[in-house]
Amino acid sequence: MSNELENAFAALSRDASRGRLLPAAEVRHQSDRRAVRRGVLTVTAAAVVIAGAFGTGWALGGDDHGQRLILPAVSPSPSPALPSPAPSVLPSPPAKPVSTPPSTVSRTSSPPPALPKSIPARAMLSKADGEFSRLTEIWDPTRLCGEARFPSAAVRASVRVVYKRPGLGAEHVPDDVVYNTVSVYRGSGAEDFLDELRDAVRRCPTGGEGTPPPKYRSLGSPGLGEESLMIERSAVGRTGTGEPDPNAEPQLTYIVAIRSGDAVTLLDTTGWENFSSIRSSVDTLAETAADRLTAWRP
Amino acid sequence: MRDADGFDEFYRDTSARMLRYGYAMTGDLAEAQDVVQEAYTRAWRNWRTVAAHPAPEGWLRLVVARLATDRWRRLSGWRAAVRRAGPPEPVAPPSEDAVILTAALRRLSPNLRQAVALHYLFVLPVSAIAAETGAAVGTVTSWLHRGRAELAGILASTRLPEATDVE
Repeated sequence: MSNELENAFAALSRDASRGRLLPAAEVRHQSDRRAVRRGVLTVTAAAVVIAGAFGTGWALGGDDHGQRLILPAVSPSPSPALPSPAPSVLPSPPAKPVSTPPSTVSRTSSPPPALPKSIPARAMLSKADGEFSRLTEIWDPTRLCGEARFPSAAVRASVRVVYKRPGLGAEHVPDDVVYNTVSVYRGSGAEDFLDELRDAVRRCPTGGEGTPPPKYRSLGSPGLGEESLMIERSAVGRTGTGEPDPNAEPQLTYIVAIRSGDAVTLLDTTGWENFSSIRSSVDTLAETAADRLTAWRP
Repeated sequence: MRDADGFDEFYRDTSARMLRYGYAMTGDLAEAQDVVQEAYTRAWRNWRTVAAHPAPEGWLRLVVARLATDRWRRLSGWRAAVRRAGPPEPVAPPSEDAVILTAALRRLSPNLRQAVALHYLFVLPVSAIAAETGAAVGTVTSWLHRGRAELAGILASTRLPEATDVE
């Protein structure tokens, strides 16, 4: 039977050569077009004042008028050599009865991708990024207002990093205190979360914790992961003793959400004491967080 | 700046293998094309990360496996793009052996299907499959045993009518 399996996989490999794939350059082009389209959608949504449906769904169809591509057949590279049968086959269990013809097997019978049991440290900001601590409670900065209906995450973890730019000496205070929460969702929950977050900042430009409550403004997508969103949070400036000072510069901090597959990494910068976050540092940390998430859960 | 030449070379080197893998995981060639194109789209969007990954092809396989088993995936566009890209080509019928195998693979659980496909299509040892799937070596060994045994049983029962046709 082992030889039969090897022969069957060899037949499958030969049969796959009937398939067609777009040229590499066209795949890149389509990928870039999708990124641009998502960016345009985000900017458009931010400009719309009234609440409304906002989908991030993407389809290629309908706007490639006149494009004709030369499609190569799938490269006829030889099938990989088949391995020797190891480990050996255990005694065969009774074959399951064939109850459903293969052609009618529904995709909906497939289970969703396996959820992780926990969020590994390598998926998050770490001690390599600054003074680090793993939190026992989840840090959630997305309660901009009470109307948002965020999907529940299946698995979550939060860490805190006190960030200081490389090269700054001991005489410098840190740039920022940053909270990083990574969540994995069931089904389309991760996409729904990003949709809901976009909607929330539009519906609730002011809200959340603080006296007076801070103001929120969408900065659109920073172009990270499969989709992403950066939100600027503006809080009233304060005196050295922490009292609100209407004449002081507002404190600007940021929320960044980046999705890769069914996972979202969320950064919440809180600044250092009453200082604003440094935007270039936020960008650096967001890129790092995106790389970690994408490497773990592409 | 992402390295387009590097991506293109990677695509040329790996896309045929990836399509075979997608075919084994989905059981349908058109679906496999969608899944594989989508996976490479994601690879290009994250190309700096993927290129620096110790196993870029493993990264791709992980995406293909997840897309192949994700019933909520959004892949509506690729088939239309391929259709627009050129006139329909003469479509050869699928080989009978491939049809039988893909039908049998679809009856395996995703974990068993993934392990068996990685073993037979990529010649990956158990340790490499364990590393790629995040499962323990003992678990992968069990998956391979069960996957091969279940496949053997399904294939044997599929061919049984021919053997008893003498009646």
